[in-house]
Amino acid sequence: MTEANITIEDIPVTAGDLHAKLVKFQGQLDESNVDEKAKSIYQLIEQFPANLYLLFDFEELEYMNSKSIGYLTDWYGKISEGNGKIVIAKTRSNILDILQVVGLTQLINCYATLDEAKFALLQQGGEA
Amino acid sequence: MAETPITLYAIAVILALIPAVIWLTLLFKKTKRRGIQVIIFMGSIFSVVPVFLLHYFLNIFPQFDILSFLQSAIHDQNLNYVLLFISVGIVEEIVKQALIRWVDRKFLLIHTINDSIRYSLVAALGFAFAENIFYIVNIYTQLGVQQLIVAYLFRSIFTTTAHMLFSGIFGYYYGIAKFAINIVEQEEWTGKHKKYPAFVARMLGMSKIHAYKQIMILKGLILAIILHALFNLLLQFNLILPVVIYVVIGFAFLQHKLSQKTGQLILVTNADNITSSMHKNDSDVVVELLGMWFNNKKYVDVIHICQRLLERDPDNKVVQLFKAKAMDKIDNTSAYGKVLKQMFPDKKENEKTMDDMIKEKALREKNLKQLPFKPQITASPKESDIQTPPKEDTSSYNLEI
Repeated sequence: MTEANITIEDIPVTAGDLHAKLVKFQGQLDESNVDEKAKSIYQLIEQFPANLYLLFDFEELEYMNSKSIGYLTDWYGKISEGNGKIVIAKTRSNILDILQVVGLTQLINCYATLDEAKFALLQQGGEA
Repeated sequence: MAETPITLYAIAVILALIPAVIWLTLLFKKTKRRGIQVIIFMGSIFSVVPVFLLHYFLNIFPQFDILSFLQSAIHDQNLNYVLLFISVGIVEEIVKQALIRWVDRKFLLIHTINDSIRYSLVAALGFAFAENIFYIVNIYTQLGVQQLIVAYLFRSIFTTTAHMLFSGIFGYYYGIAKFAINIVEQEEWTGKHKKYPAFVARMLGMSKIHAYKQIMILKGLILAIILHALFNLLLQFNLILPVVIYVVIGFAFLQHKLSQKTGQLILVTNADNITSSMHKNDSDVVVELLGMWFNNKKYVDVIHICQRLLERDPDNKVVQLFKAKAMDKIDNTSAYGKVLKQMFPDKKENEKTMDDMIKEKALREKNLKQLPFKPQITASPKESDIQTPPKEDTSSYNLEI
């Protein structure tokens, strides 16, 4: 099984009905681990069906397979249905390349730094 | 009427030429390679020669006539007819296709699956033309002019169309076989692994692609023979209405195949192909996603991704195939396709596409104030990514969705 890890931290926000999380991805998401790792995001969506604001930190994410891109699209669909938001930060060029060709960068904005991503996430959430 | 044999054959040639010319005009209104069609047509006229030579040979050496041997062993008349018509089908279909295969090998004639179908239709027309001459002469001399009129009209319309149907079906599978490398790769990305060709390849010590090619050619030939035998059988029992229905439905199916984007796609690879600007591993991830979403019937998303990927890798035949197949799936212009969709509807047609989500996002963000910085993107995706067709290979097929 290839190594991959997802850790979730709270992002402090002032609005009470808004749930902002920093989700750090590490390693390689492939067929051997992606279904297992995706569960943690689905649990989060289930826990906060509305106003969920996620900042995906891809700095240490080395590889995404097609299934993980499918999951990313699905997460986007579910979260935006609940008036939530996803932004991505510090994506490696190979992954950014894939996301662009797939068209996901038109749905999920990608930022060069965590601060920019956080700012964009929270401003779009009305928290700036 | 007292005609000399030469006059009789001359009239027969003119009469047989009329349906051939009408069909050729109808089928190839916009074609550029008329010369090669004439060559195939002329060549296929002479393809009746081996059929007659075979009959002649079996008359001289009846000990080699396996069919007569089998027929004498079987006392069921209907079964004998089936055997006869299958044997006729085998010989005629092989002969009709031999020319196409030879011309293709010699002149690299076939660039698309539709080329393979169309040139097979020309070969069928040539064969039917030659066959019609002999039938016209025989019917006229044996049964007279009144019988000839009915037979002539029937042969001109239905028998000629039937010949085109059989050859067209074979041509379709020959086209699939010819472009097996790309077709197999595209299908494997959708998870359809070719187990049977892999088994044949192991048994016969050949590559899987080569085994797949041979299986496709054989499949086309067997289908053409079965269709041919069935047509002859229906005629033998004078089942005219079923014959008419059979030919009309069969030809509509062929027309449907000819109208598909997949068939129009140029699959011949050129030496001066443009290299991909995307890393192979990254491109594979996207193609794998295409396979996944194609299976999930997300055809609109597949088309959009293909468009973007083709901007980076314009000559990727597998991606072109994905796009063409996805376009065929959502195409509503073909009546035959509509009937098929009614019978086998796509379950997920109403599911939200990425395009829908992008539009919704744009609407949501319209009222938000601008951020002081831009998102991190290596090359800005253009708005035209979604709406406009790519610039490449538009000559081969219409890329509008």
